[in-house]
Amino acid sequence: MILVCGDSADPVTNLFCVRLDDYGADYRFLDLRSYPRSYKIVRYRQTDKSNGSISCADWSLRIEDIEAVFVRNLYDPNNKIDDRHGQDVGVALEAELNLGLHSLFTGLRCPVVNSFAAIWANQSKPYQATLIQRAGLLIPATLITTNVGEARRFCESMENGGIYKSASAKTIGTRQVDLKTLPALMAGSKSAIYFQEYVRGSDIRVHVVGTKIFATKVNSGLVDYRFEETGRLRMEATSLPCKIAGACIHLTQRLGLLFSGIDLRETPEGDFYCFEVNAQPGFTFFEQRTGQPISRALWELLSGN
Amino acid sequence: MYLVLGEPNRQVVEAFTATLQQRNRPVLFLKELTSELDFIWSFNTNQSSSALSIDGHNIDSNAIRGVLVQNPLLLDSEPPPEDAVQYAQAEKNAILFAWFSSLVCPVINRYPVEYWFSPGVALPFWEKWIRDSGLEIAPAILSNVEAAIKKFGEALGTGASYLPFCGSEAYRASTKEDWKGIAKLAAICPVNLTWFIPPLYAGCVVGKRVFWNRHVSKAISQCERQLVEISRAAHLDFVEFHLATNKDLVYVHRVDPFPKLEPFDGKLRRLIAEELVKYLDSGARS
Repeated sequence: MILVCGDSADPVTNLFCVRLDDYGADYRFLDLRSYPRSYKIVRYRQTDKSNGSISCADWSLRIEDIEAVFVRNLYDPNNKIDDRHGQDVGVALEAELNLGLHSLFTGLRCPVVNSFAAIWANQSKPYQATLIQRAGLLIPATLITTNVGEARRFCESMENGGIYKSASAKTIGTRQVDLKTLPALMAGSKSAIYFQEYVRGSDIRVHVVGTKIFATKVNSGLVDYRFEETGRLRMEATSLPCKIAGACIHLTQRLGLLFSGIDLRETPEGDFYCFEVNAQPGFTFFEQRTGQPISRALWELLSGN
Repeated sequence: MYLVLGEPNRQVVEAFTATLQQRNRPVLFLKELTSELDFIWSFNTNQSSSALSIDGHNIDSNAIRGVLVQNPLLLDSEPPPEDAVQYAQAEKNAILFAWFSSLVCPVINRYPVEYWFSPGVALPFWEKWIRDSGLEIAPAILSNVEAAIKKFGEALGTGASYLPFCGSEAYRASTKEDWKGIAKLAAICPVNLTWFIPPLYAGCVVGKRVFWNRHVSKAISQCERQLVEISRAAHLDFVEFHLATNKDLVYVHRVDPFPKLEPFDGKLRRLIAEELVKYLDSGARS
């Protein structure tokens, strides 16, 4: 039995469940929107065994019968905190609930997409960049600094200018550096700023499911296609050179992930730069526009096919 | 030059600093990378270099002899911080973590990313390593079902410990009032309960050595190799374990990847600090 754990208001979770229904998959859905009030959790743990059950009005599942887990939306910064008992209690409660669920999944000896340990790397983009570089993919020249002079020199030295973005998971998108307003930008910041060379080229989003690759070319007029109007985005399935496909799989595995969304950019010269690895990719957005069977691949991974 | 980074644990930092000062070794403290510091870190596919200026000291990263990492900075959530404050904090934490992870000098601990950014890495997340080492963990229950919790507590006979996954505290549950409180908590969040088996023995791993907070039996001391093994598997050099015994069995009760050394007296803290310095100087890294 597959356990899907997510938020019923999340379109990705919803669509994945619809696909699982289409495939006739055996699964149970734990809705974070009504967790824990609508669920009974009993999990016993000893050194060499773990048993118990998760149940709600509609179903009951023995923990020993869980054969795979697909989990998303935990630790989502957009989740509204239950602050009825105060903000600090609400924050602690949210963390305790999420860690409790993850502790349950951690004790299972079955595939978990994705595991607790593997989902944190994109909380630090520069940290992830060093891992990307070690996996054999190119990364843009980067400067993280509080020094205006260094920032100016860096951006002026880049052939296509510089961009800046957030170093953490709190995204502000990717923004072109305007040298005229650079001093004001840095004066207004309470931390160092994360600058990169602007890499010209075509965006490619790669979904890695186990050892399967789904590459999608994304055409947009913006520096950051995530902020493009949906109607203006054009997407098509594409293929990658073997070496790049292999590097994407290797990177996903090195991060401990079974499923990832990797952002690449192919330059006119045929080089591939990697910007980010997403451990909870919004893959259905790409699947719906290209017909790429990412959901099916996920289901096959979860069901051991 | 040695660096101490992050939110400090007072006992650890005091002992570490005193040891370095005794040896005339300079040490600087950097709680967070604020915009007031002069910080420059550049890297690309092939190279990385960084430098910063703290309190008038210009430091090239290649000149850092060793780093002791403490805790990530957390924001108080009461009153709720403004979005801009939260953003700045997230940025500082993300950059600090990436930076110390990239340093070529010895770093204790060079934390895997989940330790730094998750709300906690509690005992269940150590289970596989503990199991692989041959050590035991105390039986536990995670539940929001009052009857199951009550049955677990009654079966123990020794009283139970409530161990929240966030934070490093444990709370004893033995009286009627305690269990009423547990039931109230369980109504809003599944609770994690385990045995309460005093006394607890604190073992601090530094590299390949283990320091105990009190005299230990042969059974406990024989676990030292396993504690070192677990630490290595977790990619850590400095870990605090709390063990307990039940009849002839030794159990891991709790693991703290951000050691506080509270169960250790001043003399032992100095010994641990000396070992930390020695370990950094030996160039060992996880």
